[in-house]
Amino acid sequence: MAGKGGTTPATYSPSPATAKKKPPHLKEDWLRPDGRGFHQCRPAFFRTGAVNAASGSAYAEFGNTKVIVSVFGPRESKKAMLYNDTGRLNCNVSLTTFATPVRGQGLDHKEYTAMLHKALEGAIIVESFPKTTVDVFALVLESSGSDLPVIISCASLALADAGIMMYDLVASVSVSCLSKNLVIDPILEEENCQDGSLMIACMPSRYEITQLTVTGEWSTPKINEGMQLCLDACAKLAKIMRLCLKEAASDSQE
Amino acid sequence: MIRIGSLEAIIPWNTFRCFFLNSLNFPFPTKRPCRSFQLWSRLPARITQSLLLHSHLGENGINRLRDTKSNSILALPLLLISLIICECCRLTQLLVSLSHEPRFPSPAVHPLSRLWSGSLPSHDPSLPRLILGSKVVFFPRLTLISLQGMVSLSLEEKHFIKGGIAQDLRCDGRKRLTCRPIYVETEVIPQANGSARVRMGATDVISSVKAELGKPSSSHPDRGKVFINIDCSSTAEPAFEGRGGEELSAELSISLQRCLLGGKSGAGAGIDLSSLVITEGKLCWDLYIDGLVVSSDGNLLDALGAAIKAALSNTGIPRVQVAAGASSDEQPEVDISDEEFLQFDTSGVPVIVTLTKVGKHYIVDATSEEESQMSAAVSISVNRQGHICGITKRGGAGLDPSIILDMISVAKHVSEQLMNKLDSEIASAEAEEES
Repeated sequence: MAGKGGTTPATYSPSPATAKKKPPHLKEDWLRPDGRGFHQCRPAFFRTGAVNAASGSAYAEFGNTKVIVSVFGPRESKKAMLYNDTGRLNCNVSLTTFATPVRGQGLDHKEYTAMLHKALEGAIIVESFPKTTVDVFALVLESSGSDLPVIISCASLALADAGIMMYDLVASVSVSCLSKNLVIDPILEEENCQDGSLMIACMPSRYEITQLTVTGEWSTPKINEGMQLCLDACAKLAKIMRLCLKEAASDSQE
Repeated sequence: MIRIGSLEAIIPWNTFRCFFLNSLNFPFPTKRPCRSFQLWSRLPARITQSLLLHSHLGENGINRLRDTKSNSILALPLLLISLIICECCRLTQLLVSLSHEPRFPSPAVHPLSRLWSGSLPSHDPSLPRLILGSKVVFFPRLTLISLQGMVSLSLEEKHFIKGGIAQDLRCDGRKRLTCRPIYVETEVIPQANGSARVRMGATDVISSVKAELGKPSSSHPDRGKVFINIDCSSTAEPAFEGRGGEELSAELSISLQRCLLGGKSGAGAGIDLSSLVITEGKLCWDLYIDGLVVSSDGNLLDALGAAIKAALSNTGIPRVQVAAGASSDEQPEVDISDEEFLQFDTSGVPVIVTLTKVGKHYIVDATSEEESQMSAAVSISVNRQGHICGITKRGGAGLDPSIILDMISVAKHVSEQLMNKLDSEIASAEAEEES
C-alpha cells in the first residue's frame, strides 16, 4: 500500500507542530522569500473599469495581493447629514472571507477604512461636488502583504476613472524594518516578523504626503531613509498608474 | 439681502440653500408669517428654477421645494437664524427683501470655499455679512452650523487664533511650542491594578489598567497580550453621545496601539510583552488598558498617552506562584498573591507629541479651538532614547516631506521636556499618595 515504506502519504494528515525556528531574516545571507532585492517592489498591475455598474473602478494586483475598488456617485448626501457645501467621501474597506490565511478574519476593516479616507481626503477637490457623497468601496480579494498601500493606490485610480476631480493621483508604498534591513513592499511573511513599518501615501507631482504611519522603533536617519525610499517608489508607481489611465483612455477612443 | 431694522444682511444664494436644507424639519408654520416678522417680497420663480437646475438636492429635496410653493419656508428659518445671531439687538420690526440676484459661481471659486481657507476679501459683496451701523460683521457659515452643536467660531476668532499662532503668541499666552501644565493624579480607581488621571488645561482623561490571567496566543506563545480601548464619554461633548464618539474612540485606540505596542515582531514596544508571560504558551497576563475622556479641550491623544504612562507606572501586578509538577498538557494551577505586587517597568513607554499645523506654523498641545483651525496634525511618539515609536497623521491636507522631517526633530525636542515633566509629576503624585 502507498504510505508504507517511508513514502509520503497521499492522504491528508496534519503536520506535527513545527519546531520553533529562528526568524530567517536574522541570518546574514537572508534573501527575500520571493527573491526580490530589498529595495525592489513587486511588479504592479493595474486595470481600470473592473466593475460595470460603478462610476469608476480599478483592479490592482501586486504579487498575490489583489484588490478591487469601486467608486459610486457622486450621489445625494444622506438627509441626516448636516448641510455642507463641500463634497463628502465615504470609504469602506472589506476583506473577502478567503482573503486571509485563516478564514474570515476582519471582514470589515475599520482601521483601513479610516486610513484610506484620510489618504484620499487631501487629494480630492471636494468643492467640485457640493452636498453630495462619493462612495469608495474597496474589497481585498487576497491579502498578501502591503494591503493598505495597494488599496490606497487602487482607490485613487478608481476615483480618476470615475472622473472625480483630484489634485493628483495618490500613490502609496510601505517599507518594513527587518532587523537592520529596510524592505520595500513587504509580503505577508515579512510583515508578520517585521520590527517596524512605515507607510506613506503621497501625491508625487505635488510632492505632498497625505497619509503617514509609522510603527515600531525608528531612529531619525532610518526614518529619513525609509521615507525617501517610499517617496521614490511612489513616484514610480504613479507613473505606472498614469500609464494605465492613458491606456484605458486610448482604448475607449478606438 | 435682508434688512432687520438698522441691520442689513447680504447672504449669497448658496447660503439660502443651506438654510433650506436645515429648515426641512423646522417646527414653524409654513405659510403664516410669524407675528414679529413680515415677509415683503416673494422669491422670483426664476430663482426656484435655477435652484432646480443647479442644486444637488435630489428628487426629495426638489419635491419638497415644489410643495411649499411660497417662499415663506425659506425665509422664516433664515430670519430666525438671523435673530439668534443678533439676539442681543432688540428688534421690533423686521424688513425683509429677497432682492439678491441668484448667482451660481463655480464651487471651486465660491467665496464660501474661500471662507474655509481664511483668505477673505472684505469687499466681496456676495459674502454673507451683517451690517450694524458702520460696523460690518461677517456672517460665517460655521456660526450657522453651530446651532446644531459643533465648534463655533466667528471669523474674527479664527483670524485671531491664526494670527496669534503666526506671531508666536497664542490665545492663552503660550508660545507655539509650549505645553499647558500637566497635572497627574494616580490611584484614582481603587478596583484597577493601576490608574491615573491627567489634566492639561480643560482636557481631562482617566486611564485604568487591569490585569487578568489569560492564555497567550498560539502565534506568540512567549508574549502576553495588551488591549487598549478608549471611550469618549458624552459628558465631554454632546457630539459623543450614542455612536457619535465611536469614530474618534477607534481612531484614538488605533493610534495608541501603534504608539505603544511596536511592530509585529514585538520589537520597539513601549510595553514589554514578554515580561507578561508566566508560563510560556500557557499562562500570561492580559493587560486591559482603558482610557476615558472626561472632558475634551484638544490634544486628547497626548493626554491619553500621558495618562496610560502614569497608570502603567502605578500598576502593580500580583506575584504568581505556579504549582510545580503539573503535567505539560494541563493548564497549570496558580496561586495569586494578594500582598506581593510587582512594579511594572515603564522606562520604555514613549510619550506622544502631537504637532498641529495651523496656517504655515505648527503648535504643540492645541486646544479644541485651535484644532478646529488645523489643516493637518502629526502625532509622534518618542521614547527616552529619542527614538520614534510611532507616527500617525491626522487631518486631510497634504504635507511636504521636509515639513514632516522638521516636525520629527521638533517633536523629539519637545518630548524630552514633556517626558521629564511627566516623570516628575508621576513621582510627586505617587509620593503624595503614600504619605
